[in-house]
Amino acid sequence: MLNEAGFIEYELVKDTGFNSSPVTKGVLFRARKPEEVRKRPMNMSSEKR
Amino acid sequence: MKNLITAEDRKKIEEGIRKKYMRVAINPEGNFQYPTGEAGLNGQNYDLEILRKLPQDILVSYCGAGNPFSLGTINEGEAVLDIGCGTGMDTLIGAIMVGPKGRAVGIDLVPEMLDRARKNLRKTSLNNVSFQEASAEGLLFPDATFDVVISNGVFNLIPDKVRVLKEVLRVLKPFGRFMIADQVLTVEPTDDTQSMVKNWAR
Repeated sequence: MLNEAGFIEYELVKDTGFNSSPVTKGVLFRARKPEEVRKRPMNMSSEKR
Repeated sequence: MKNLITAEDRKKIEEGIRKKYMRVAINPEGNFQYPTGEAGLNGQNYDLEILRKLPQDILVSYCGAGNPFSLGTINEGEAVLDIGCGTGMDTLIGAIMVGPKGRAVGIDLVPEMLDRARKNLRKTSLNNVSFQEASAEGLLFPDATFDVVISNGVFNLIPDKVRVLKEVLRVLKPFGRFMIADQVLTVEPTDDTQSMVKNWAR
């Protein structure tokens, strides 16, 4: 998702050790904005007409 | 997962979040599964020197999934945005880190949380902090406003995460840092959308 949004150097750094439920876990992420954000090319077929 | 969350579902999710966090704002004890209060801050290795600069009686209002500040340095003079600031503890900590030449802004959806955050702010001598009622889905800041965006236990609640991430990217300056503490699912999300919506903020 971070990549999809345009971030770079995104990484899951570590678990926090705290899980709020049996099916979740606490995590720490970080990411960085690139110097320039490239515009993704438009998908013409998905444009509303 | 490409979920099938409708606009109506999103409204229900937002309403559920507001209701739950209104209760948490009044008293996090028993209403929240994250670490809370001073024990929560200490357990997540928040900087004790910075915590000592805050009045003891506001530390009890902390609740968070982790310590986003453990992910990197915040420098003097920088601008920090705290998405889903709750009672404002991380915003205040960010404000201390950036010092008087920097600034920290906290946004939250829940007015009761922001009331608590502003009360906490008034107990400090900080004058580089502001709180705003706002959704992360449409940040009311110009492009390239912040050096750092932090978030603690909030992204798991956001239905359209990519949309918010794009907003975070927009308001960050080039090379700006995004630091997140949160909970992630360790199983595939349910296909039962209605059950997912009902249980979103639990």
